Amino acid sequence: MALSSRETVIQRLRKALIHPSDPPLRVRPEQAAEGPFEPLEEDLALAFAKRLLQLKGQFVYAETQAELATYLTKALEGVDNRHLFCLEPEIQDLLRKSGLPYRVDTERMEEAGVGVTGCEALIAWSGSVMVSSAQAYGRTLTVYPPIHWVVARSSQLVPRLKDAFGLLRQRYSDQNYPSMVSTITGPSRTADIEKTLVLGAHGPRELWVFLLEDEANDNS
Amino acid sequence: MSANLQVSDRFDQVTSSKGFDLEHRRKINFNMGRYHAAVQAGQKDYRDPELARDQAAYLKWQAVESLEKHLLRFESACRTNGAKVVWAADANDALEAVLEVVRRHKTRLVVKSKSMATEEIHLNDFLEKNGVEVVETDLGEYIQQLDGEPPYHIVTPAMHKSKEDVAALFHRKLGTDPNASPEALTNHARALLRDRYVEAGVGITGANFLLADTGGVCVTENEGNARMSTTFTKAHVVIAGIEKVLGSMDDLDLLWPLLAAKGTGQQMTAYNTIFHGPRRENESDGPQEMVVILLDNGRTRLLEDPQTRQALHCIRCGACLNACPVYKNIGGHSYGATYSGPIGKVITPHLQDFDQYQHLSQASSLCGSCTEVCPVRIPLHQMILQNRHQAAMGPGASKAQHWVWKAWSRAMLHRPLLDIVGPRTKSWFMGRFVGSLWGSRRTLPAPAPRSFRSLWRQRTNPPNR
Repeated sequence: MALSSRETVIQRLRKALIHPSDPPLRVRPEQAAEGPFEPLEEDLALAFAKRLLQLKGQFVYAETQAELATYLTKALEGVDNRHLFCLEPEIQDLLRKSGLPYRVDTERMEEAGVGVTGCEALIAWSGSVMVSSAQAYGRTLTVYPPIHWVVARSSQLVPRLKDAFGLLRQRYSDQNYPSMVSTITGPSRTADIEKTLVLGAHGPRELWVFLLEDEANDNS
Repeated sequence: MSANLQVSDRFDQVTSSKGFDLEHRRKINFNMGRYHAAVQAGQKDYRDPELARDQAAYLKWQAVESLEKHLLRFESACRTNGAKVVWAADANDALEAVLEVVRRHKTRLVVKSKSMATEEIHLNDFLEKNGVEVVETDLGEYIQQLDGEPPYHIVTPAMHKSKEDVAALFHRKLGTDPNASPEALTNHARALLRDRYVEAGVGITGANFLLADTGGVCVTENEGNARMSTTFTKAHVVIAGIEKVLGSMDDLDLLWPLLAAKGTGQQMTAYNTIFHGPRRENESDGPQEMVVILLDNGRTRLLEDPQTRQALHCIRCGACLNACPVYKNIGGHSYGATYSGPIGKVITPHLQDFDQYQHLSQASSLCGSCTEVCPVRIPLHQMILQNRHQAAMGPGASKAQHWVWKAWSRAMLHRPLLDIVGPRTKSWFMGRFVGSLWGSRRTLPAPAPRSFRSLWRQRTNPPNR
């Protein structure tokens, strides 16, 4: 009887791996504790902000909700298409308090000027925003509108990628991961024509991160 | 044997003109220069770049040594996530699997993000023959598709085109301003492709890594086109080489940054995405189906020999291409293979027909620059030598070459034999047997009238004493 392709490949793998190979020569595990990367600045928010600005993203820090409202309003001033789309109750609440109207009719998403979302984590080392499809914003809102605003809390900052993976494991026990987890590092970009950097290849041209202090609530 | 002659003859022809194409060299040097500057600047993110390479080499070694175990774990986790897994022993299996999904979703349009595995199995040709339009969504690949050319480079598909070339191409095919800037051209492509993402029934991506512990499929990109291709379509099809599997999601903490650092000089690529199956019940959007095709297509042949196995550690960053003096002069298309540059020389003969493609390993100066830059420490130049060894020992080896080397070593080991004939005979002999190999652009040096040996003898034993 003919073998299925699955059986064929597994048999080939088994046969090929009969002879083990030696590990690479230059393993230096004794240095592994420190890791290969440059150490991170103490202040995670500062490290994150520096990276994001280098990536031509925008960073805004707000100590209170009132401050956030001012900054959001100001950020919208320079935008042509002021249709905000926002799907998470907590962020909708912040927009409402800021006096900014938003839309939720996702079937008309092509009219969106700005997608406003939260995130899973902010990664200080690389200035990255980790988002996932398990949140109300889904897959579309973090990539389709021409501008992406992320509203995050300072407790969402983690030092490195591995810390963000740790959070994912905690939040979504194994085998229950969101169908999509994306680590966004700066606005969409390309350098496919003569290595010339152009922002907004297919995803958002602008990426803004509004970082709100955790203690900030209605009364502050 | 005749096929053997055709492929290597074509290589000889193409390289002997491309190697002297100064315009080509100028464009490549310009683009490569920008790459090298970015990579150099990116080094500052690393306290110990050599340690990063050691660790990456170790991770990939571990992953490939347990390939069978990891793939089975991946398969099981992937199914738990709700995705279908298809094993493809060869290109044909993979093509049929893709067509099955496309047919089931009754679509005539597929959007595709950049993937070398799909180039390897010639997916676009196959789908077009079956009446399905395939749109390349990565800007570089889109440019190449417009021009009817395969990718020139595994990371930067249109590296050989200047901005003027691209502007002229867009003008010809899409009617844009002939002097449009890179920004205007990018925006034009963006606007055209936006509608296609929504129209297409199926989105196809490759995979940079597969995760055995979570069943995740990782796709690295800068433009957002892979994200867009997997947001609106009804099905997401992944074509991944079996060597892409890693033990754990945590390995990405090193491999994502390293792929970026060596691929483009970035600290992190703009979008590093992990897919765990199709849209879940509680999710608001995403494809209803995900199919992951695990492609062998010759990879288990590389796995068999512990020496060639190391080539499966490759993460396709393209650093060895950019470091290679041969690549920079002959360009990516001359190789006549999906994978070009040093890694292409190493794997193509094993993935395809050894005798047909072993000549690629001869076209190397063995300078070792590729080995020096490889982030997972593949000893590329040694593997090129190993291919040469296999070719010399194999049934396809040239008899004439065998006898020439035999005669050469005999003469070199028996100095007096060389002095039997005079310089003019030597000159004639060299011209007759070596001249054609020396090439028409170099002059074969003539042997000196008197040999070093006789000059030395005269100097140490002057005749008048």
